[in-house]
Amino acid sequence: MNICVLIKPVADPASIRWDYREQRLDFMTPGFNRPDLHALQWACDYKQTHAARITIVTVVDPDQEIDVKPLLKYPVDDCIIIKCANLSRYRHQTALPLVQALKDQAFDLILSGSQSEDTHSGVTPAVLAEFLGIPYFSEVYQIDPASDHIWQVKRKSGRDRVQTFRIDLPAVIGGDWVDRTETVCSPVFRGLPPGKGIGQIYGRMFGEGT
Amino acid sequence: MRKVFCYVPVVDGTVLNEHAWGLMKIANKINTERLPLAGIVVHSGLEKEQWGELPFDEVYHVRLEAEQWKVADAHVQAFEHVHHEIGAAQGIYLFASNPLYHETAVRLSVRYGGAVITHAVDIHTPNSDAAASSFTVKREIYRGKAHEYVTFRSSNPTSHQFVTMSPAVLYGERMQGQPSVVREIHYDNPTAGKVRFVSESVIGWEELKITEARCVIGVGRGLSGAGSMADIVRLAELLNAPIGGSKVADELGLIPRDRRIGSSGSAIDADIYIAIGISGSSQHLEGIKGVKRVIAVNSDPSAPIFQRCDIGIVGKFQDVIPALVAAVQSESSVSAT
Ligand SMILES: Cc1cc2nc3c(=O)[nH]c(=O)nc-3n(C[C@H](O)[C@H](O)[C@H](O)COP(=O)(O)OP(=O)(O)OC[C@H]3O[C@@H](n4cnc5c(N)ncnc54)[C@H](O)[C@@H]3O)c2cc1C
Repeated sequence: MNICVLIKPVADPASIRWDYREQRLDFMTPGFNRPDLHALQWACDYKQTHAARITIVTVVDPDQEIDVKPLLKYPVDDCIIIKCANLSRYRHQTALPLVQALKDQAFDLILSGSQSEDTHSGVTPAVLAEFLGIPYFSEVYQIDPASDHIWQVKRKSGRDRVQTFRIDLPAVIGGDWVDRTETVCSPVFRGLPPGKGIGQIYGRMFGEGT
Repeated sequence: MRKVFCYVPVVDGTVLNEHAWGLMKIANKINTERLPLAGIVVHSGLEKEQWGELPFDEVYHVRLEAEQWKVADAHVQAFEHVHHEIGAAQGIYLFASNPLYHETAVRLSVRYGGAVITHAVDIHTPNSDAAASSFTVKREIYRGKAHEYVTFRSSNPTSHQFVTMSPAVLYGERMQGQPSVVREIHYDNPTAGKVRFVSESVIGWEELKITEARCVIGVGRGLSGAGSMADIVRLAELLNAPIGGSKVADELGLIPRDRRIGSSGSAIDADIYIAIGISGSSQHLEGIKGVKRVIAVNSDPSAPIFQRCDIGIVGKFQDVIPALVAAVQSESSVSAT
């Protein structure tokens, strides 16, 4: 199973405060989107019992410093950082450099959180799936393989019901996994496997968006 | 000139969702050019009589099979079909942002080369005669700690604009209208997609979170040393209601810590809360502010919980709960026949 996990760098919403004097948000502690980390945690759990290869992909502005060490504590095989200008200005188009980077790679499963903790848009994974011509399914809290290329996913419907669906892979799945990062995983820094590096790709924005 | 279309939210494909009236209110607000308002209803069995009463100038409705209706792929195809049939020019399309409609709206925005703004909490038009395309959309960011105002770029005025509205702001009085156009658009089964609905089940009361349940039972010190909880568990099963409780109940080990309700526990917003042997301290009441209806069972008629409840039963829970169980049982057997 070739799994890609999309990880968005975000400022930790718990630390953010409004600075009334400067009239702007302050205390922007850099971190990673927790729903994406839950997806990564899920992929790592899966890898413990199944043959799987995990690639993490993140998109950042060229001038944005990002410390990927916390991500490399997870047993990932590859890490791709896509540098792309004007990301914060045209943020709905984060999917476009992702499409460029992922379209020729044979991922079976692309995972992420359903929304990011900063903008709560929930757009990137859906747009990515649409451009790649593969299905997208969001707000999933449980996924299990039903067969080699069909996976079963569950999501909540209303207050007290669960719906089960089957999805043909490859697919993009946006998770609404419960917060397990602190309880299950205490990763240690392993670095990437020999011969692997942190790839950097320079992407470019185009088209229209918000 | 942009025509405003509402993608009318429907529950389970068969019942108009109350969010429809909230969406309609927003649509009226941004329809500053007073063009005919259109409703697109993709359903799997809404009553026929409803079409003529919907509060739109134009209603276009498509019926899908019940199982297809649950999958965004089928909605995308149905929308494309409607769009093709009515030859809609550039428009503003409003959706409710639940997962099904959110996926549909985002995918359509890609297919139509347009743009999408999701989870909006309000839409502002700058002044009464401004063009609808210049509206700004208010959204919550950083878990609601701040708001942002975003707008569509105007470089491509012919593209469609999609906005999904947060369900939290979609409320309104039921409205009626007399659409001048009511058109059924026949669409034979969409091509089988790569996502298929399998089944739906109810989450049992033991797994259901107290913050998500429609009905929650709360227990307090009144139960301590008073024998078995068997009747309360039976009530929980019948109502599919998770059991939470007061801080004291938590400290006495009657409930797990994460099921404490109140200022130092969870805040619940259930439709019904049944408080058993709970006095109703201010800290506990803090956690049930969002509850619609409270039923209280307490042996002390002066307990403060009776000030907050809709139905109060004065008596020992050992006597009251078996009677309540019997009443619910007979009621459910009546509605089952
Ligand atoms: C900082 C702080 C935070 C707190 N946070 C919370 C919180 O988050 N949630 C919370 O709940 N509390 C909280 N508390 C505690 C709160 O002040 C009360 O002590 C607590 O809510 C009381 O719990 P109770 O209603 O179960 O018990 P009691 O107040 O002792 O009430 C028990 C009730 O059971 C009734 N009773 C007795 N026997 C029977 C019977 N056989 N049948 C029917 N009724 C019977 C009695 O008449 C009585 O009204 C907090 C307190 C502090 C100081």
